[in-house]
Amino acid sequence: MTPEDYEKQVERNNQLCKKLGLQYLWSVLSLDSQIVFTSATNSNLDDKNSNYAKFFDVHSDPNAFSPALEKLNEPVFSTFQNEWGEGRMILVSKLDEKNRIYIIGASIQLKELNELLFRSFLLATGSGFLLFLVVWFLSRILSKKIMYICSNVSKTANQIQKGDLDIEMPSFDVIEAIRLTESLDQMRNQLKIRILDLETQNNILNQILNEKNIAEKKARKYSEIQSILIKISSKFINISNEGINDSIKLSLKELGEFVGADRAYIFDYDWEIEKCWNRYEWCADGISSHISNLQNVTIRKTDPWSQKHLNGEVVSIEDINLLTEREENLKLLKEQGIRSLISYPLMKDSTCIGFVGFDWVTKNHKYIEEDENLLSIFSNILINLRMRKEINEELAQFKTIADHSQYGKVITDLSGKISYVNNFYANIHGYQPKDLIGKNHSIFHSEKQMKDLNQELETLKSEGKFESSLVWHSHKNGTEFPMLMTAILLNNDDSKTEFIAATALDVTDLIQSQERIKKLLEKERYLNQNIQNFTYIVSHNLRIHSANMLGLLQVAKETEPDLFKHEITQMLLRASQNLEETIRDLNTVLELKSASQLQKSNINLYELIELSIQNGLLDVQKQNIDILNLVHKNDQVFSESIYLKSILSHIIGNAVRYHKNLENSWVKISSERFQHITKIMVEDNGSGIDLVRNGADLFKMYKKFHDSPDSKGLGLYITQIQVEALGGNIEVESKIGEGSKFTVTIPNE
Amino acid sequence: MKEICLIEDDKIQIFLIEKFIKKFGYTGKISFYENGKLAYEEMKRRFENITPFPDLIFLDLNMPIWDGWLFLDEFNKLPKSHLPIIYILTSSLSEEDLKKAEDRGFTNRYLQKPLDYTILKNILQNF
Repeated sequence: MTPEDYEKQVERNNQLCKKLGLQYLWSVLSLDSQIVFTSATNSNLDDKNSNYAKFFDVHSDPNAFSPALEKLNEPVFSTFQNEWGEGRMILVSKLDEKNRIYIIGASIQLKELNELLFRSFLLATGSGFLLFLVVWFLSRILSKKIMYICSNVSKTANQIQKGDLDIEMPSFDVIEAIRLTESLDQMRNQLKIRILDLETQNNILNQILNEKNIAEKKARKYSEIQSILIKISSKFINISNEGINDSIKLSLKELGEFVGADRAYIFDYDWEIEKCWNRYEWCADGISSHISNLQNVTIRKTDPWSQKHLNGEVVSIEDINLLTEREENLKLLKEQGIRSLISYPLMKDSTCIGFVGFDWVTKNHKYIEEDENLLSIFSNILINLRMRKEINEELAQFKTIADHSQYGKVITDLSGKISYVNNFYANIHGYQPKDLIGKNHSIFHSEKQMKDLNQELETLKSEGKFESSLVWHSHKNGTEFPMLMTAILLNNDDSKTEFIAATALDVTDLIQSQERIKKLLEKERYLNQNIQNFTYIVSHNLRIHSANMLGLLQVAKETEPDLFKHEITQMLLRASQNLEETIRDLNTVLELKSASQLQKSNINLYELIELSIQNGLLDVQKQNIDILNLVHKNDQVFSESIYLKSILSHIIGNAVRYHKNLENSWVKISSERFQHITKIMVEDNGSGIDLVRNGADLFKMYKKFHDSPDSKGLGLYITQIQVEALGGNIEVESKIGEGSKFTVTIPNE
Repeated sequence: MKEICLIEDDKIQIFLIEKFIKKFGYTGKISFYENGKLAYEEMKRRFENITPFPDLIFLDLNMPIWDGWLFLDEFNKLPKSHLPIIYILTSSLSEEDLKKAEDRGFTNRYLQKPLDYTILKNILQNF
């Protein structure tokens, strides 16, 4: 072979290598324990470095070929990693005619392939499929390439064999080519295995990616849950009572739509009467509403559903047809077209007061934890809302009451700064409540008044309160007025700051009335004193003269009987007697006591009547009249003896006085005891009283019903007053010419 | 010799009682005191001199200086060997006076002015 031909052959082999993507194709000869190149292709690296393997160049590392030297005629594979990069190498050794060992080798660079595969790996994070395609495509190309190599190598081998070089070029026979092909097949298989590895890795990568996707999805869902909860809960912060209903309804809608439910609702329970009520409802478009039917619905504590709620547990039903509940409950659920539902109890201080839930009507819904978590959080929000609503309502009530109280109410801090004042307290000082918030309460007092008040405030600070103290206030216009004030020192539970709550009563009227009462009492005392004096004058001073006159006339009657022959002396005696009697009556009226002044005791009625008869007859001349005391001798009454005696004496005296002067005149006194009252009857057959004419005036002062000269008309008036003082009453039945019957009724106690 | 004592400030009453007493033929002594204090001082003097008390006293209630009640209070403090019979003789219509008299045991010896002729007769007959 000429050197030109050799160069040409090398160039051909170079082109072949490039086409195949092989790094080198070469042949070496083992000479005197040295490996020398007989031919070699040039790689890119050689071009770059201008470092070509030249004819008979000694190989730097003789050991690199030792595996091939040991196994003649068999392909040996090896992996290398050196300045020419990383790759796989195939070597085939054989003996020539001169028993020299020829080695033919080819290497393929894995570096580029690896880079390619690595890039595919990276791409695989975006799309595993693409990687697969690439790998698949690559493997196809490679296997084709390798087939191509094999056929070319065998062609080359043939061409080389045909040449007649003195120095032998690597020469291939068919068997060697087949061997090489087989080697390449093995290489391909290894590549396949590697590709399988890659595929497995890719699968794992895909799985990781998948999980990452799911995790991301979950995270997204959680963030959505979070945002909806924030949205809902922020809706309820600082919400007014009026806005609560709308916000709850809106929240139901948002939650319902979020979980993809067809209905969302809130129920209240009343376990006492075992009833529940649907308070709020949201329905998706086209879903029927049932809130109006779900009022006053009977539930049983013992129902499985109820049991769960009572224990604070969720009720989740994926398929209504698989539910075991009471027939009525099932019917109720089916009527609403429910297929799946989830309901979460509203727990207030470990008591179930209701529930919140979702229905699915158009499809079945599998239980997912998020639904329950959402409901659980929402139920807590609802409970807080309800409690806040109750507290707010209570507060509002208290505020309304305080605002409109008819007494003053004021709250200040320790320095006296007003934080609350009601209408009454503001108005009484000439202000509106809004003018006073933030002002100091010294606005209500003059300097002098503040001095007095400060003493009370000292008490407040040391003892925690002052009670019913009279505190003087100043109106805006300067007028001063008193208020009765009670104040307490209170703690705010949270901040421990102290404040003063005071109540003030307007006592202007009270003090004025007290003054008036005081004056009236003084007047009363004065009048009373006057009456007492007057009574004394009547009963002693006036009376002594009347008594003296009567006494003198009596003596005159004894000693100077002639005087009484004159009618004028007779008239003087009668006038004196009338005067005496009038003074006595006047005294009786003046001395009349009220019921509370009387001292009652047990009195023997029979004996009292005997005494009354004696007294009654003192002033009248007893004629031919039978006076019959028909009262049982042991009868007792509980009363006041002087009055009762006076009453009966007077009636009996009248009965005797106004008799008819007939033979069988009588006066009968009888009594009848009932459970609570005793009746004493004084009956006569005397001349009687015309009740038709005089009935209304019978017991009035100075009314006379008889023409008798002795009658003065004061008697029955006094009698009636005395009966009333005893807590009783007096009645009269009478007929002119037939007689009268007086009935005195007195209480037994 | 018997003694009837009148403790009375009203001249007419003294006149009337004296007239009545004498009319019944009483011949004993009649002593008069214008008020409770004068009467008490006399009684006290008598006690000290061991002179007998009157046998019968008509005591008015309403008198200046010492009234009848004060006389009774003080007189009852004196130790007495024999008790005079005391009648309250008053023009008073006051229930309070009556009750006071009853409380002191004068239920049957509380007389109203003008003194009833027959009552006086009874008293003197038993005297």
